[in-house]
This record gives sequence, structure tokens and C-alpha cells, in this order.
Amino acid sequence: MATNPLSGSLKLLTSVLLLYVFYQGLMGDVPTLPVLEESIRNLYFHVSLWFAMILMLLGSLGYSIAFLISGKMDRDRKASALAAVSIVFGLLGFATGMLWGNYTWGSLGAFLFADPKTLGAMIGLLIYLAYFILRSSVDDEEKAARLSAVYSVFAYTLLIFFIFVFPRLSGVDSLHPGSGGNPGFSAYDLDNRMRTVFYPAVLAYTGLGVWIASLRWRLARLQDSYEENVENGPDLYPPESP
Amino acid sequence: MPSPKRVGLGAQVWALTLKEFRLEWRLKYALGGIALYLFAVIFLVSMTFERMDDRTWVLLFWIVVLFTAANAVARSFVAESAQRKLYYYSLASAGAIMLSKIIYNFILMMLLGFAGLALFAGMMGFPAQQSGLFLATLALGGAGFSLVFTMVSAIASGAAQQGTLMAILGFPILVPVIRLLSAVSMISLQAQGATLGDLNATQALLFLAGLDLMILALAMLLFPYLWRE
Repeated sequence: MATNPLSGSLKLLTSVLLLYVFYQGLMGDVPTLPVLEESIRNLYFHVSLWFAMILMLLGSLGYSIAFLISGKMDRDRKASALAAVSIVFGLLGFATGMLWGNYTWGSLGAFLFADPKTLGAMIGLLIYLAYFILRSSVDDEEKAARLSAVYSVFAYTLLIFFIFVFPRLSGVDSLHPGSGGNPGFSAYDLDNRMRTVFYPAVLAYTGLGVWIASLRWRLARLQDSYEENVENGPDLYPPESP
Repeated sequence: MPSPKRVGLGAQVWALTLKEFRLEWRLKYALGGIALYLFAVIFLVSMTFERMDDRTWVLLFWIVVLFTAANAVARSFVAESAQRKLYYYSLASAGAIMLSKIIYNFILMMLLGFAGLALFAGMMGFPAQQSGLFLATLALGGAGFSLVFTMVSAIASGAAQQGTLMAILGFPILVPVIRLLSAVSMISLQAQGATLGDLNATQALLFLAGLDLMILALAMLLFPYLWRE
């Protein structure tokens, strides 16, 4: 398959943005604030990682729906590759969040289930881990794709519905900025300096995630077509030892 | 393949639901088994917790109902052989099959839920001050459990190791439902007019009903994709 020039320049852009974000994140100027202090740098990592994860999960959901409508296996490969990378990003989001919470909320995981945002993320993680268990427990690939696409649409739609409505049940207010009476981050960032790093960071991580996912789905596509060809015409593609 | 639309949807649903009840009646051991399961779990709870506060009562009650639902509703699609499923699908439409399973599982869940409540109340007292609100919560919550597990059972019936799958697929979806149910039950523990944050009891019930309707709509929308083979 010929290399797409568009994807090449997107990869270049992602690399440049990642370098920029990491330089700014570690060395750049940040507002000095009580309690947050230097930990505010985590905004570039924790928050943007989870933004990127949500974008990729929406992509995965879109491909699942597209697969159910069209029945094309390529849609399913993309959906599952995006979901797999999202899980890794979700785990990184937890790790960076715990690090942050340790310094600002006072403990690593005490608020893990008290906070609606963390609870939602935890449920999402469980849903997608179950998604992969489901896929691996069905032998027929087409059937595995169909069952997991249905589950993904069912579970993720309910999760979105819940995340939007749950904060209305107060008494379970979020400790996160911008909810439960806490000021949002825009209040801390008076001169909008942080935005010039935050938005590129979201772009960079999403780009990186899609890049990794694209390697996964292209590999899966090659494996599938290799298996198909070996089954249909062993003379043309003799199985070689690797 | 014969046309699936020879009789109206209502008649198909009625016939299939009736079939579920007949099947259950002929296999009495299954129903007896789940009733004994419910009794044994509640007995275990009342033996281990000699005294419990109201909050613990409510949370344990929902967990017992959740596990009973997982066991009772699990059989709906999983118990049927692939050949029999094929036979049903040649006779009736996907919507009728799903609706009949949902209706049957809902009625089964109501029976088990209210039996569980009676046992709980008998062994450990009934702490709710607004019993009407608690009963309404149980009805709506039971509906949610039966809907989710019916759908999850339909998904898991195509896979290996179905028992474990039922739990791991269903529980993450039900965490929010349980969270909401226990919150509404906390209102019913207090006197009339109590609220939960900015929600009053009526709003909370409406929200639960909305969630149930949403699950129902998703299940009806997605089920046809599951059996298209």
C-alpha cells in the first residue's frame, strides 16, 4: 500500500507538537498558584490525555455503528484498534490523575469512587476491558465483531447518558475543577497562556493515539488477508517460516 | 425461508411470552432453584449481619437483587440451543422475540424482587419510612436489571464461557443504575418530602424511568443486529 502523503504530514505534525508540549510541560512558564503550585503542569498531560481518550472512544463508537450498518470488517478493525489504544490512554490518565491527586487532594486513590468523573472513567475502563474479553471468547471473527460492536454501542451510549445526568444528583459533587462549585481552569489561567499548550497537547495525543491505532489495524488487515490467501491459494503464497 | 410476518407483532409477542411461561412451568426445578438461591443468600446475609444500620440494609438488598437478577435472567438466551433459536427466528420477527423475552424477564424479576423484599423484611425488618416510594424504586430498578441482563444474555449467548461474560458485561453497565437506586432508596428511608441534592423523589423516579426507557430503546434497536447470521 502506498504511503498517503496526508498521513505522513499528520505524523510529522504530531511529532513536532509532542516535542513542543513536552518542552512546555517541563520547562515552560506556568501560573504560580497556591495548592496547585508546579503540579498545574499536569494539565498538559492528565487532562489532555483524557480528552484524547474520549475523542478516540467516540471514533471507536462511530466505527462500531458503521460496522453494524455496513458489515465491513475493516470498520471493526478500526473500532477495536481505537478502543485498545484508548484503554492504554485511560490507564495513563489514571496514573497522572493519581499523581496529581496525591499533591492536591491529599491521597492517591481515596477519591477514586467518590468522584463522579473518576467513577465514570472507571466504568468506561471496565466496559472496554469486558469488550476485549467478549471479542476473544468468540471464535468466528465476523460474529465476534458483531457481538462486540453491539455491546460497545449499548454500553457506551448508556455511559454517556449517565455521565451527563449523574452530576445533577448532588451530594456526589465532583472534586474536579469546573464542577461542584470549584472554579474551572479558565479562572486560573488569566492570560490564556496555558491554552497555547493545552490545545496543541490534545491534538498531539489524539494524533499519537490514532497513529498507534492505525499501525494496529493495518497489521490486523495484513494478517487477515494473509490468512485468507493461504486458505484460498496455498500455491501463490507458500507459508514460509518467519 | 418462510416469511416472518404472517401474524401481527402483538400476536407473535403474546404467543412467545406464553411459551416462556409454559417452558418455565414445565421445568419447575429452574424456578425452584432460583427461589432457593434467593432464600439462601438472604439467610446468609441475616446470619452474618446480626445487626445492621439502614444504609447497609439498603445496599445489601440491592446487591442481593442484582446477583439474583444475574442468575435468573441469564438463562433467557443462553439456555436455548442454536437450532432452537434458528427455528424461532424462522417463525417470528426479531422485535417480537426480544419483546417477549423482556416481558417475561420483567415479570420474573418482579416476582423475585418482591419475594426478596418480603424475605429481607421478615428476617431483618423494613427500615423505609416511605414504603410506597421504596416499592416504586424496586419496580423501576428491577425493570432496569431485567432489561440489561436480557440484552447482555443475548450478546453472551453467542460466546464461550457465558456465565462469566454475563457478569463482566452486565456489571459495569449496572454500576450507575445501582448507584442511582441506592441514592433514591436513601430518600425513602427519610420522612416525606426529603430530597437528594436538588432532586426530589418524583424527579428521581422519573429519571429512573427515563433510564429504563433508554435501555429498552437501545435493546430493541440493537437486537436485530445480534441474530442476523
